[in-house]
Amino acid sequence: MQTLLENILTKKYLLASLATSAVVVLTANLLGRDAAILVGNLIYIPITGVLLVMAFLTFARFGFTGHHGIAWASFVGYAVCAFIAEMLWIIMELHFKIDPFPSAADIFYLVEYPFLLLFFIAYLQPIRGAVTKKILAVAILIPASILAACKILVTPGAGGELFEIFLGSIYPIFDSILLVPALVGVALFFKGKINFMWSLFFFGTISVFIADSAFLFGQSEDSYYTGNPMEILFHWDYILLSFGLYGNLALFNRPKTRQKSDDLA
Amino acid sequence: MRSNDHQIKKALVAFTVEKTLLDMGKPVLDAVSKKLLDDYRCYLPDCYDHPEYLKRILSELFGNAHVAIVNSIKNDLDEFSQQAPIHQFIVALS
Repeated sequence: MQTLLENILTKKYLLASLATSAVVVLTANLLGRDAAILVGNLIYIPITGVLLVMAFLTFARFGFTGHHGIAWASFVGYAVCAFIAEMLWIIMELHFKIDPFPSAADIFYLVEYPFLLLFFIAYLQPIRGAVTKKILAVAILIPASILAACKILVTPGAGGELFEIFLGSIYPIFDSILLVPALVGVALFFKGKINFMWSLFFFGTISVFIADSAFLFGQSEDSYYTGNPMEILFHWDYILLSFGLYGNLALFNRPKTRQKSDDLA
Repeated sequence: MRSNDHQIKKALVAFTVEKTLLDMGKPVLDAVSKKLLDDYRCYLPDCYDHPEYLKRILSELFGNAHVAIVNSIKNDLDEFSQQAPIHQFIVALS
């Protein structure tokens, strides 16, 4: 069980991680575009690597037991796809020196979404009875409103190929779909210790939604490059998810075997 | 005879609660059992006599969603709810 001190310490490391990724990217941008592209690519290795490791650890804890086991298996699928997608992006941009969008990386970016959606659904399945029409309505209304606002505010420019614009448009739409179960989870687990993980997942989804909208805009203007400051929000998504996993692992850690004398004391 | 009946109902309730928590995942059952031991120095079958312990722990872990978990336990005990002790347990848990 997490004590208050552990909770605060977790947040301290979370804030430090978020700040570090922002400082690294902003500093690289100050050094020039080439430095920003190099750093912007390489930073994904530790960030997605940590997420992948945390996902495997969580799945190892739960196994295939119950709905949560299925949920965490799906999350591993998401983390694997995210890692492969980022690595493909890095290889294409840094090794082959070709534009990584669109490319095979997008296959894995798109395949991530069903895995993450399945995670949310499987996790919420045992408590689906608590999902009221009111909660569902609010959970659908908020992302739909945000998506509509983004579509109005983020008007694609004349640049960019039609297929690229179409592909870039899919990501914010899929992100807004994911916001629905994330919001439902936050509402349902409100006041519970599990809510820490769900809140981080929700903010991570918001973060990637904004980042994908900015990506779409940048692509259409032909001004987007890996390592630009908006990419910080992609990093924050992975970091928030990783800390959510850590919080969940701390909550459901394996019980230590006790001495019999302790129980009788 | 009466104590046998009490033990049987205790086992039934413990089994039902365990089944509901296992439906979510083994670590969920472990976490609830650990919290019962840490906070109240008791085990899952003891929740039959103290449903308020289980209710508080579920609320602490799962927040508003504890209602759905409690409802799941209630549904599984529905066919035994005509028996006064089980009915009392369900009412206390709600």
